[in-house]
Amino acid sequence: MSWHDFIDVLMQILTTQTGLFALDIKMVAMWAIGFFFIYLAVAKKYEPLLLLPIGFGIVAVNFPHVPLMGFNEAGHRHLFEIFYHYGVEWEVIPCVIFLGLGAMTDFGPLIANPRTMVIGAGAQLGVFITFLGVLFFDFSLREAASVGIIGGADGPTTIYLTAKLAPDLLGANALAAYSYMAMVPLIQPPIVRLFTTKKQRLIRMKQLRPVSKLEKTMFPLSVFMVISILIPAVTPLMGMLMLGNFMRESGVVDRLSETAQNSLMNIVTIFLGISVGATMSGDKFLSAKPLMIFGFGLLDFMICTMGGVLTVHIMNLFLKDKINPIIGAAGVSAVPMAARVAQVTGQQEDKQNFLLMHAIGPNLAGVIGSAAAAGMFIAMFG
Amino acid sequence: MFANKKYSAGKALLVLGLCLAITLGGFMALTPAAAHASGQAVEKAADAGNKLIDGNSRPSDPDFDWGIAIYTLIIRFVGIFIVLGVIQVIMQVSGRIFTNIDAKKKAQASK
Repeated sequence: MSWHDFIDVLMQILTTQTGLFALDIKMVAMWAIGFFFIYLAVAKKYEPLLLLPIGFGIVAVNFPHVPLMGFNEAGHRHLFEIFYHYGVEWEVIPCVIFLGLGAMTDFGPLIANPRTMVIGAGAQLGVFITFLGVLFFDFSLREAASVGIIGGADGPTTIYLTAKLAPDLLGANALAAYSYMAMVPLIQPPIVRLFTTKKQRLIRMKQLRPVSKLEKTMFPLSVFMVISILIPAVTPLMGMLMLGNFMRESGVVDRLSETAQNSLMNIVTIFLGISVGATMSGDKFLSAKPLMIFGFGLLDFMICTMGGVLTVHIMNLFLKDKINPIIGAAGVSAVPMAARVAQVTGQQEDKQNFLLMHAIGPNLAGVIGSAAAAGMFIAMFG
Repeated sequence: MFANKKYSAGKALLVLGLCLAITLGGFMALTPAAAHASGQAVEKAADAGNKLIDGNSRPSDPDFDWGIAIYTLIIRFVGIFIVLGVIQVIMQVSGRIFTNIDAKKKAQASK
């Protein structure tokens, strides 16, 4: 065996069994993007539960020859491909996350003030305007719908809809949704101030009535039935949300409720984050579309916030007990961040004005509203 | 019955709602002609939907119809208001019922 043969074998090993010679600039660019989201999660604490595994997933799949996404020679799925296929493609994870969310959520403030339900509908304005705007850039109808739903500010709903309608955009859409949800405190207050007067921001709202245990128990059942009849396409999501809430409020399955809101939720969050990150290989992600998605996502979010505030203005024309328009911004469903932002914005005007519980109502209505919007899109294009 | 003060407006609405649901349900179940007609309407609507909306079409396609895209979007946006509005009405009605029940319980307890 000559040195020449030895070098040949060595080079063959280096090129086929290591990633040294197969690295390209796209992969390095994706590492930068992945590490940026890891930085946001770790240093800035922006949605760390999701952005950390997403960031890691992005970095991990952008190495040459790594058996994480795709299939092996025998046709079996690689590890992340299994998570993605059974978790996201099969729509399991978003629905299980909604089960956990339902188990964690107290719908009391919404039940006590049902009028705020309409705000959750008005705050979907951006979803539809963005849908139209994106079409001008020659997105398909399915892609436009999946980009539009970002403004609903509901991560699982965005992932559920995108996985159904435009799986190629899953990474960009999910990242945009979670990034902007984390930036609610930066995005919303200026828009609220722009569309309200000082006098309107000083409106004090009546204290919410107490809600009985029985009423809270009946709520998930009745909402589930109405949604299932009117928008059957979104029953998997809403059904799980309401099942989780029913488990919580019935009080007879505390063990199940606790599992749904803690262990189960944490487990699926890990798989969701990795799966979303794993869809973002440089070949697919580095194009103009993701940039446009991030741009439109921001616009979408801003219009949704504006839609919620304007809805309150319209409602106030007819109401005797006025609603503080600041809580309109909470109509986007970033729970509970948007409600907290409403509280802080209100207290900047009047330290004795406590809007948090009032803002939780439209916030929860936003969850139902964005799921309803997703259901409408699935019914149209699914 | 509704003139009696013992029966609250909420209860009256509940009874009305139940009557309506039973009547409609009975009508749908017992009238084959109506069921057949509604089935045909559903089929027609489904056919129309398949022809009008193809989710993979883009504005650059020659047969892309902006009108249909915009109309269907407006209908869906209004649809969200209707869905959440229905839930709101149900919550308001049930809220009244529960508030009355609680008030009665408190009144009985204070006696």
